[in-house]
Amino acid sequence: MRLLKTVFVLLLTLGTTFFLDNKWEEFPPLGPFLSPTHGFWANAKKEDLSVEEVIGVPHLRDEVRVYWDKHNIAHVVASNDHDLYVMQGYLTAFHRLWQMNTQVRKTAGRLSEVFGEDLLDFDRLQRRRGFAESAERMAKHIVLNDTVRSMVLAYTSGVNDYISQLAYKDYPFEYKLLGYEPEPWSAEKTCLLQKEMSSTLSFKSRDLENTNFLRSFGKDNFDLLYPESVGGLPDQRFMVEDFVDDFEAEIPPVPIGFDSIAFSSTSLPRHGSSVLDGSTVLAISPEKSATGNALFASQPDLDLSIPSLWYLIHLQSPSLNVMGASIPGFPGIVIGFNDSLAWGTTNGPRDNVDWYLVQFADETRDNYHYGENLHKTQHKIEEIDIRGRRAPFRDTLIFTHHGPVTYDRNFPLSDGNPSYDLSLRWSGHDLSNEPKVFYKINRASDLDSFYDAISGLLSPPQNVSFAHIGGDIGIWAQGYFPIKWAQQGVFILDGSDPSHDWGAAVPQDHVIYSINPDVGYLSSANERPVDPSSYPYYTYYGWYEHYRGRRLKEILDETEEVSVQDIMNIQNDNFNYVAFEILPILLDSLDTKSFKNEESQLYKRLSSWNYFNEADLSEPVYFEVWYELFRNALWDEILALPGTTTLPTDLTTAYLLKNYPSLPFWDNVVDGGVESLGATINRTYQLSLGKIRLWKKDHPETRLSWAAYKATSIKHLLKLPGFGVDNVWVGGRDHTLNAVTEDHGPSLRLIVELDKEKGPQAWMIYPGTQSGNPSDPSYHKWVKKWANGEYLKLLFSAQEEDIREHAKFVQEFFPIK
Amino acid sequence: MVGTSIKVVFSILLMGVLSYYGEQFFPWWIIVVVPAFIGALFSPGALGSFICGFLGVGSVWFGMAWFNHHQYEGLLSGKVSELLSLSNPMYLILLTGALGGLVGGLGALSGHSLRSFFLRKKRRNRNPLEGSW
Repeated sequence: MRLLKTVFVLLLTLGTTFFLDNKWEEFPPLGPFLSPTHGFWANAKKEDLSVEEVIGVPHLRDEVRVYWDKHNIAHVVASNDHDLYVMQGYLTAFHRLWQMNTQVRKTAGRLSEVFGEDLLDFDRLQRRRGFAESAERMAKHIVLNDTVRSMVLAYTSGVNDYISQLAYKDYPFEYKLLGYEPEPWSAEKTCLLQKEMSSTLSFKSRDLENTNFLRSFGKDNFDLLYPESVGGLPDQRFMVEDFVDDFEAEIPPVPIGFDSIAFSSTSLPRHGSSVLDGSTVLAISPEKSATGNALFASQPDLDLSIPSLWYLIHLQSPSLNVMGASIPGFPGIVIGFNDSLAWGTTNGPRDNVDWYLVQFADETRDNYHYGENLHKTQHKIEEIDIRGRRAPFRDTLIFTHHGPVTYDRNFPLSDGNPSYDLSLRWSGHDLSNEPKVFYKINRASDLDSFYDAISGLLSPPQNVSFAHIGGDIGIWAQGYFPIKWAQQGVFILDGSDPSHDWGAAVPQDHVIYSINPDVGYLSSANERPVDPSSYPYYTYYGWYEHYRGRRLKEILDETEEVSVQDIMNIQNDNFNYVAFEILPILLDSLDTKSFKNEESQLYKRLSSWNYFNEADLSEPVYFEVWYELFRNALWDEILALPGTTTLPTDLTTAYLLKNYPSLPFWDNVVDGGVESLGATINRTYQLSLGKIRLWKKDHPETRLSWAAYKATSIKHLLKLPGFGVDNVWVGGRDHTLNAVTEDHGPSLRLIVELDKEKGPQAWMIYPGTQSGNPSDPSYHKWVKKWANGEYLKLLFSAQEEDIREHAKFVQEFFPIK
Repeated sequence: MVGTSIKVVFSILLMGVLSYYGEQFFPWWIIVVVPAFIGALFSPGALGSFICGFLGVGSVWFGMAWFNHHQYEGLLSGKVSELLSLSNPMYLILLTGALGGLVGGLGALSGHSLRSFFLRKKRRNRNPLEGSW
């Protein structure tokens, strides 16, 4: 009896301990998580910095000094470049370890290891897109270069030196919450991160959407609704307006029947995001600058999240003095400035993703039809470990010469029959060495060395721009672009037809560029890089911007001498070009005679609105709600298609409304009757008023305003409630220069004045802060400043004494065994 | 009686202090091991051991959590409470204390059980704090 009792007590104790030591369902492992010594309590912090002053780091070769300024930005001063990158890795891990590891897990398709079976399909998709496979190839390739190898390995060992001295109690909060451990960093992870950046920016395709539309409405309607350039409207103001080609280009002929690939009645479903990732850069030459110093500004628009994508750092050694925004996991500075120049980029892909319909020879899928012959496939087994399951999930990944077969019978694109076998061709899978590009950009000192550096950038394609302290400004539409026949890859391609293969890359000598133009400035906002009639290569892309670039150039044309303040105003400009073009058309068709008092007042207010989507105005709400309802009603035929579709752009919509009074698409079938265009405009106006009344009823305490309605929120990467910032008071929308949507927008704003006497002066802001620790009092300190259009002046100098003078805290790092 | 009270107070203090220091060097489950040893050495009976472990470890966890919450102005404890659907961070502090207490209590009870299993022949006087065991 006593034995039984003792055994029972012991089992109860061990069982309880075991239960609490492990993660169950969505709960963290409560024992370690709640322990005041080890658990989340130990992550609580009071000071921005609560770190030791002298720290040993195994992989350092010499002593390194780190000066922390009042913004929590590290200024690293090392006696050699190796130590500089060791420290960049170490400090980045200190602030952002969980974030960097999670981002590469996502790319590699390894989220199920942490989050369980729910994310298995996502992981399978990532693997089937081949990211892990091409990162592995890239990792082997980049280390062939000695310089890159030593940089990447130094960075890697810095991250790992940081990880190796962590005990459980020091783990970032998220590891404790999710109950797993940080993994060592590696060169391959840096390559995965590069693939992540590449895919965020260039893994965009509308092939399926276009194919769906084509099948239902035909080629003529496709060319009308999705034209590559829209006539009749103010021109789109190309990134480079005066481009003259002085070279011969060989363009392959268009194969017959490329737009009639046979698809049965099965519709293609949505298979990826279609968010517009925009950005803005501008470079001002000394002649157009108020101070006579060249100016530069960069503003990458991306998904907004906390921790921020960016991490600011200043790296200084006898051979290098560079500062700016880095991406945690990637050595060096991605957007920034050094003693001689400032640089930045906007996203500039063309159609860099294509899908090929594959015909396997038989059930074994060992061969596929290609030309007259059969080609061999390659098979690779992907093993996906899943939390809570003993055996890994095994998935067979098949490669054709195009790339991985992402969708097949084991991972069908649609539920219907047949399941299409679609092989992916993405430029980001080709070998490239971006770490080397940024290594060289960071050290570039003039136009020639800058161009030499950026000419190696293949993926993601970027419009790279710079301004030099001596006055040169330049921009290049840089990247790997395959030579295509007209409309190649607009629709799904035939994987068995050799004439559908991508051609060679557009030669580097044929890059679209501009250096020191007469107007005295260069700008880019994701618009078409060049007038198609002045450039022989096919430059189609479904996401060219039509508004921000025009607005930017208009302001710069009107401003005779540009100051830093002017650029701040530009980056925060909320002029809504879409409303400017569409609202007058809508208002003209309103039947105002039947308006009651309230409706007339609103009509007057909308008529006199200046088209600025300012935070505190209510007019933008009335326009945006109305326009969205109208647009969806207008294109109801397209939205009604089964499967994925995309609507014509705002630019095309406005153009067609003005120039085609009676398009069959205009008629709506409502309640069994046919509704005219004017009737649709009036009906959706009434609907929008009802929708806004409902919003007011749901928000009795809130005054109707654009910011309140838009309710921008910057969420934690895990979307944990309470860990992000909701209802950020900020204006703008997509297609305004201040392109803040409800969850997307300027992820960083950087302005540099290349002062010939004092050296580069820089202002910066991003919505987040340096620290990724949610308990840090400064965790999202900059969000409000960012929303208000405020900037932080950066501390930068070539002299260590200047940095020391302004530092609030100094740390010394030294080598240990 | 007096001897038992001293034993109880002494056990509580020892379990609290040693668990606190133990956690500086060992993982969180040291709060099972420490009370088990002390429960085995100075057992004030089954229920008594459990209460000692509960109060000893529980008060240390509760106290540290409470102190932490106030020292760091609840910046993180507030967020975690929200995450665990607790309406007030005080519940999180109580939960922390109760969980530490439960585990500590079970540890102490285990120590007591082992002791009484091996030393049962030596035990003569049942003490009033001992429960139905």
